[in-house]
Amino acid sequence: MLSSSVKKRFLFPVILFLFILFFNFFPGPIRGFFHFVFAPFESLLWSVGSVEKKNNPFESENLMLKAEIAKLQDAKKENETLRIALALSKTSDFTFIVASILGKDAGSDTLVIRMPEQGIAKIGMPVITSDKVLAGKVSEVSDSFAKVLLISHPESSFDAKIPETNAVGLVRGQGRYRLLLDLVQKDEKLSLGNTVVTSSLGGTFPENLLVGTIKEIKDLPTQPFAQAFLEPFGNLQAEEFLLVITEF
Amino acid sequence: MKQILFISLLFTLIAFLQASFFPHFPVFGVVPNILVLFFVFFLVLYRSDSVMWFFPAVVSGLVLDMYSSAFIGFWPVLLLSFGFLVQMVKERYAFIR
Repeated sequence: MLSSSVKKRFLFPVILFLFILFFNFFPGPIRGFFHFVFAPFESLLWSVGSVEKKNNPFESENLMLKAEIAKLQDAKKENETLRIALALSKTSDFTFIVASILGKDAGSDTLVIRMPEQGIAKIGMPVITSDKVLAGKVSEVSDSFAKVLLISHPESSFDAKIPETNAVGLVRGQGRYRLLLDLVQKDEKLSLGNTVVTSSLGGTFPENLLVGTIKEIKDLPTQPFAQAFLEPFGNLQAEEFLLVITEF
Repeated sequence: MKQILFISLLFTLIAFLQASFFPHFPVFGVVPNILVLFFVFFLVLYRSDSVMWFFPAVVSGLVLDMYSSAFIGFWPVLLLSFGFLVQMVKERYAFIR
């Protein structure tokens, strides 16, 4: 017979293990339910953060006041985003839906977004900002929530081109919002400040979505291809809404 | 019991801030994990013979797991590991209980 102290010592890990095991049988619905319950709070925190990012001189303001401002700005931003989205839908050859950002994974370049309706998002759908800057693609879907694998995630890679020179290459995520343009032919001339956009070669993303500009070129004679580090366009931390492209 | 609830709530709030607020403020492109820092800080200052830190570690870890692409349980296990490590260092090298 086990003594009561030994039982107590092993009870917690065993219960925790069973608990975690149970959760891993239904990760999607559990995450979906969590975001369904906490979405307003998560949305508010993200909005306060974006307001803070844009108004650094007002750091000492009262937090309650900031939350109120965030709410108002949230409505204004939503209005602006929808207007831009409306204009974009008239000019672009793809259809999309507007989704709000709820949070970011602490360990990787992944965002959680809330879709306006259930069942719209599908894995692999491209995600952009309202300025037509590529953000990433949908990697996980649960109810009306989805995870976006950002283009800077180490698992992300896609075909890209430089319209000025017609050079093509592969953009690889390096983590922490860093991007690397790889596999560029040596005879292609890369210059600092060149704009990199998506190419239709891979079929993953629509053509000509903005990716970034070249900030550092690595053209070593020992390597068969040229490489370049990119400065991503836009500032995802300041965004509150993203556009999920449903058809292109 | 009240203390456990209060500390768990505090860490849960920090976990929410970590996922939805702190990503706006990267330091040299990296978002520091404030939850882990707070947790280690809390363990260093707290009496290690108490098992009070188990519950906050699990609850706040599970909140971070909701945003993660890893398996559910990754963050609780990581925080509990940090907890045991800090306890071990405190007891063996700093002779603090």
